[in-house]
Amino acid sequence: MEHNLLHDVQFDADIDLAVALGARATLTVRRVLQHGRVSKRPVGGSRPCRRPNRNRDFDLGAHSSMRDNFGVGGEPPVYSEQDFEKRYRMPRAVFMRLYAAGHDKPWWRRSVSATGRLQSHPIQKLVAALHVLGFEESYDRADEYCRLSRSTIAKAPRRLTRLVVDKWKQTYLRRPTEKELKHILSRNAARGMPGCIGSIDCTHWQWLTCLKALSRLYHDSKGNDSVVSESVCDEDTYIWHFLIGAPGSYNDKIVLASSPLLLDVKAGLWPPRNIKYTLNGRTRPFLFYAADQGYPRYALYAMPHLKPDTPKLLVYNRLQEAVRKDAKRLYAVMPSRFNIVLRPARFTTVSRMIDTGKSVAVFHNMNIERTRGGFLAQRRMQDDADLQ
Amino acid sequence: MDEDKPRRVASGERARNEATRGQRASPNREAAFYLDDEPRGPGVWGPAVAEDADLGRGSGASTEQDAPVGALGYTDGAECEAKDTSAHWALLQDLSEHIFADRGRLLLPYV
Repeated sequence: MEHNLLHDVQFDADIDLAVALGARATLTVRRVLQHGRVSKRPVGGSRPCRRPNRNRDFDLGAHSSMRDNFGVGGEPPVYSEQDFEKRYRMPRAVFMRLYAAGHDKPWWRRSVSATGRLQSHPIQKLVAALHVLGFEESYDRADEYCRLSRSTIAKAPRRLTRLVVDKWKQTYLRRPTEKELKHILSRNAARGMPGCIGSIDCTHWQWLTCLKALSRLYHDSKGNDSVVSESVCDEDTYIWHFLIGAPGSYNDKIVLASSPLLLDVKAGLWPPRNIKYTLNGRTRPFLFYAADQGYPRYALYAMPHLKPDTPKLLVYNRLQEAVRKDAKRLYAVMPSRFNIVLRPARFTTVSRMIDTGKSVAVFHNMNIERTRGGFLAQRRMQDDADLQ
Repeated sequence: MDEDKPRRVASGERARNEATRGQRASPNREAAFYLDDEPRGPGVWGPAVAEDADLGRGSGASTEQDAPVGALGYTDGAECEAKDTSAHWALLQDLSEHIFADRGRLLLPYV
């Protein structure tokens, strides 16, 4: 009897819990539905009183992308490695890393619609996003090949840049480790600049659709609205520091003053003092960057002489320019590879420009990491090492 | 007439007067603040300044060197070291000498 009573009490408690959970679930579902109905702007989807979705034949787009780039049914891919790199601005291995990172994420993965049809494949979205970032194609341009709607192609670069920044920013946009720093120092010492840990420079990225309220702040000296980015790179144009988002009205000094690089230098956290180098018979602990005349005359920078009037100063200026122009080369190579930063940006917010700029910098570093073994400077270093 | 007009003083001089006014008014009271006119060291890891060495306060190690990372003395010394203009010119001078001595090899890729 006692046992039955306990059993009944337990049963009642279970029922109460089930009712409470059921009510809570119903409330959650109702809230979600209400939120979606009221505040979320409906985009696409099959709903009553709307035009039915176009039958874009997603399978055809996925099959085309797979056949052209990776091969289907044992057949070799249509595009070779060189053609692939031309089409997507990155080696096939880097493309596969992006695919592996994003293909199971909620927006990227292949879903099934309410009518039971398979939706677009993640490789279609990735191809469309890279077409937009690499060639700055309009969103409806890739429709013919990727078989995606304009709204999906507009979302793809945004999602991709967010994914890349979240996943790889800490890996690819960081300060060099001690081992990497010593390698950079040895290479710059071979170029005549021992103690130099890279070249630093700023550039402007024009912002075509800048809001009028922000226009005065982002107005640069050339009369355009722009955003400034600051970079530090080595001889291979591998980026070791990247800052983007400063208003275009700032010059190099002001950007530097707000840069985390200088904040770390002021805090004594960078550059590391345990690495010393010898210069003209003196041992120095303070490493420096090669910079142009736009920077202040700090011990942190090796700048060219203003008026070189002796052979000694002329030779120094010539070699300092060679090291300093690494950053200029970066600003030539990166936009030519990813045209989205070559042409004026058409974003409405600075945060999207920051995401896009950082993700392009990550792509650039991924590419350099894959291909830097074949660079002329690397081969020259290897030859020197072999001779010794 | 001219004596009634307030005398214009530079901000540094005014600060100096205000700092020493308390001492003049009442010798027993401490001043509100002190002007930091002491010579500053070249940086966190630099040698001690000459005055410190004379006083025996440090021998090859400044007060900033003993400060832990993140302390005010440490960051102050690091900022001084990074922004030192004379060190910048010395660096340029040494780099010019170093490069000129080996100019034949270094200029070879650019000829």
